[in-house]
Amino acid sequence: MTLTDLIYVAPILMLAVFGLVVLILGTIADRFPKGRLNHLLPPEYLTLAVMVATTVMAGAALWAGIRFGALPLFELKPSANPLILVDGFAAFFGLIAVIGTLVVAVMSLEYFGDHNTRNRAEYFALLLFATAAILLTAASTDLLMIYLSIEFLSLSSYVLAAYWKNDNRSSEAGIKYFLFGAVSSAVMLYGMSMLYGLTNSTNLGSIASAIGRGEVLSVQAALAAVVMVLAGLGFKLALVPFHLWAPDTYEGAPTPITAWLSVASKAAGLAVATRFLLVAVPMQTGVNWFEIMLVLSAASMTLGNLVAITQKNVKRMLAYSSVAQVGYMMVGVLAAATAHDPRAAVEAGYLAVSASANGAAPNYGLAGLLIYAVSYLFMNLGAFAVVIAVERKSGSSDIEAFSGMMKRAPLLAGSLVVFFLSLAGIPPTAGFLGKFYVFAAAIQTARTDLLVLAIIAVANSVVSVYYYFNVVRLMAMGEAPTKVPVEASKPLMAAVVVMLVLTIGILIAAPPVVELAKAAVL
Amino acid sequence: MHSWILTLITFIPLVGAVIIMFIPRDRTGGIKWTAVGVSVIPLVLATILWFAYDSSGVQFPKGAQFMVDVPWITQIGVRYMIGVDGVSMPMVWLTTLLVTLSLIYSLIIELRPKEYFFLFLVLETGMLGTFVALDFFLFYVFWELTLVPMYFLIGIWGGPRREYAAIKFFLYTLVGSVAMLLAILAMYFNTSPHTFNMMEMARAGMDARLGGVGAALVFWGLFLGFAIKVPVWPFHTWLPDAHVEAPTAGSVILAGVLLKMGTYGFLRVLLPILPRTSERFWFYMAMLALISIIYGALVAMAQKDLKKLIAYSSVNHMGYVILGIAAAASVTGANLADRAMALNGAMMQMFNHGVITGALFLLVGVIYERTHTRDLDSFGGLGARIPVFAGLFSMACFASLGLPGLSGFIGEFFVFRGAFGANILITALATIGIVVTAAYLLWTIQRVLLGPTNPKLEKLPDADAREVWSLAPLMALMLLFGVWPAPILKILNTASVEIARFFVG
Repeated sequence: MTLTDLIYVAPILMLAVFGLVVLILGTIADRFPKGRLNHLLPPEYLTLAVMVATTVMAGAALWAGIRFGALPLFELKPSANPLILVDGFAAFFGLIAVIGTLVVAVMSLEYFGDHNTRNRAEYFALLLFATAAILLTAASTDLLMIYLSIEFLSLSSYVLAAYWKNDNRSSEAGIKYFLFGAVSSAVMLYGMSMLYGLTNSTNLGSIASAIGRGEVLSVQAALAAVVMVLAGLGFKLALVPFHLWAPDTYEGAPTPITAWLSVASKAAGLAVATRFLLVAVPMQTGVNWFEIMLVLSAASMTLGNLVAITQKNVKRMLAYSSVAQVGYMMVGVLAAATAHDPRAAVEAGYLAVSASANGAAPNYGLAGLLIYAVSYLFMNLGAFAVVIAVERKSGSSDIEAFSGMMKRAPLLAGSLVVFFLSLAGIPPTAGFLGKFYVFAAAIQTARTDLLVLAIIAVANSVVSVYYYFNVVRLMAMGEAPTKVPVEASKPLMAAVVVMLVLTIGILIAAPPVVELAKAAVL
Repeated sequence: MHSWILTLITFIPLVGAVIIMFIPRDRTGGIKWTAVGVSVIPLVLATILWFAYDSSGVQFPKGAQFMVDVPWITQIGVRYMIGVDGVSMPMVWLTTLLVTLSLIYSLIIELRPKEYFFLFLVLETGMLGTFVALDFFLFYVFWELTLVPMYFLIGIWGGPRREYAAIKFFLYTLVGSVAMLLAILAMYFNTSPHTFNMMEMARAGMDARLGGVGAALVFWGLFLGFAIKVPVWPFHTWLPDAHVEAPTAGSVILAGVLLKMGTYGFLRVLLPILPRTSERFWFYMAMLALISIIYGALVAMAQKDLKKLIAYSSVNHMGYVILGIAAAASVTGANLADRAMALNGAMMQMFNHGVITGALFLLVGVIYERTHTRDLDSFGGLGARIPVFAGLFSMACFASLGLPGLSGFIGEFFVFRGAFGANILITALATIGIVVTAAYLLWTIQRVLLGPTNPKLEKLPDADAREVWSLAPLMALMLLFGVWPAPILKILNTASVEIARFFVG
């Protein structure tokens, strides 16, 4: 490892180190009378500064990952079986997570406006740690490392979800998240141990070669192990049927944390699930998880959308909507799986996520997944930013609270319409570009099963309009209880406007984003 | 003539919408007149376009006039490619005209004018973009862009059941759109190199590339998208709700332009890109058209609500358009002239229906604002009370039922003349529609204008200047193209012949 390799790991180091700094400073500051030190160096602004710096570094890491290729880290053996691999794919998801956390940090400023809590530093320190965990998760290429980084991420997230310790809902959110998380990670660990037993390796690439060479006792046993691992990864993704924690946790957690869980934490799940499926057990190994994921993807979007219709609370509604969104994203992974050729990667000694089969036109699946993830980042964060603004004025995140909002807060309400349009995949928005790409990938494979999945997916987009526009209907056509305008603080408003510009802008100025996504997976 | 004129026409309304966003909410006069003023610019430009357009010039799919072709999303070959030919140019002009007239008519809007005029101008950009786009991706973006403003126009400024009607309109149309999206993707991956360019697709022989089953799936996917918009029976159920609940200007645009986007899709996409598959299914299209014609007419006759009657008459009248399109694609021995004739009739009917039904909806608005009822039995004897209104209303009704000398006749005549060559039986059955249409429209005139006056309506004021100004241009067009259709037929015919060529030898 040379000094220039620092570019790759700088974001992770930065987050870990400054997480500690924020934590220690906060602890010291709390001991001072009247929080004078807190006044001098408030943890939220320190965190913001750290996040801005980290975003730049994550951008640099992505650039390096694309420009110079992957960087393997912490090799167990000299023959290159890395625990961590910072490639374009990992760096891309890392950048998504870091940007997401930056915006969440901005949104938290408003959220903590009146609550002058003593242990604010812990909140921000945990946020930094958890983000470091996401970066590690996205780059993990070894079962051990996957498990460790997911646990690191989960433990930080449980505490964040339960942050309002005097609020029953928040505690409920944390405890439910924890219980589901503990069970899933136990199942996942069991699956990992089975995979190790079968293949005598924890490295994803080696697992693939072992199964591919027919060295395993039983491919069926490998499939069982994969399903168990998927339980753990599905939990992070809130994929049906591992989504049960999501509604309660989303509703009870502090809203910026809900936003963070729905984008940043989900990015980690997406990255690691994709890497695990495509690298450790690609289709060519004969481990047939394809139909299982196909059903889970269809179930996720259908169940998520149908249940979202009945919700009375916007945060719960967005929880189910995010369950559905994962279903759409999985379409991209499935399409990529059919076209993915792992041989080159395995021969190279370590894995690399490659989007193209030998010489054939590259499948849009993986690029589509990344584009979808970026658009989801902006539209979902934007929607949550508006929810935070409304929640702070009306004290409620019930759908009823949005009634007549178009009169009370035209800019916020208008922006929410655009975010919802984008979530539903209607142009001219980023969400359309994302959906366009993943559906295109499904059609591109010319497989009947994926065509059926694409039809289910577009039918679901229509269903989703029904509940997104239920909120829009109330905002535009409902009676406002008062005429008092709803105003967001300047940072929050800035977040909404920036998300709005990006949500529309990503479609209008699509080429650079598409180029970046393509470069990251090739 | 510089080719950026189309870009200006398309996006000036959007710029106007952004300007309106920055006008303070309480300056209602400023908002309204800004909107009207902005909408006049595309109208003027489109008029210039009409005269600068070369009616014997290059046509789709060989090319298009006033073309702009700039790469957009290069990675998947999406281009900002716009242009007009004989199919789209009259629609562009009609759109700009109807929007300006609708906005003049809407000057009386008092409820939330800022949002109203903002949405109307966004809607105009969406509609114009749909007609000029020659790239499928671009086409789809514009197509969907029309949905949301119309949803709000119905939902906020509509009648008592507006919220239901608005979401029904939205969801129905969206079902069609997403089916179309999948079909577009399937076509994209079957071109090489992959392209969204509609003209290249039309030249690539998509039928053969997609294969029998594939082409059929793609055809019906696109068909669903367009047929819901038209609407063709049995996909029409959103239309009466949307029309009845929409505000007057919304109905005008809905009937005058949005429905035409559906038939425009048939002419721009289905026939030229999938000619062999269109031939394969022409009979189904013709049957659906026939049902739409007769069913629409009969249901219209049964209506007691004037607005609903006109809404169902749209199902009937748009059926003629589909009939003409199906006849042009028929597998019978019809010659080029027959097919071109049918297409001329279809396009003429599209244009005329926009003008006539636009006028009828405005007139319904006029009478509804005065009486607050649309119940046909509550009128009577208005002919003597409000003669200006009566004159305009009866003229529009006569044009709608196809009285020779007014424009409605020309379109229907050409459709029947063309369809006769394709299938005599279907054509003969379709004439039932004409008879029923005449019956319900004459009966409407009788119930509204003639007979004893309802005592409640004794002191009704006649149409005022704003209303007359928003109607006069439409009346002039009915008369002009009724007696002298040559200027528009000249434009339509070159395009028709070009499409008809796909179906002969």
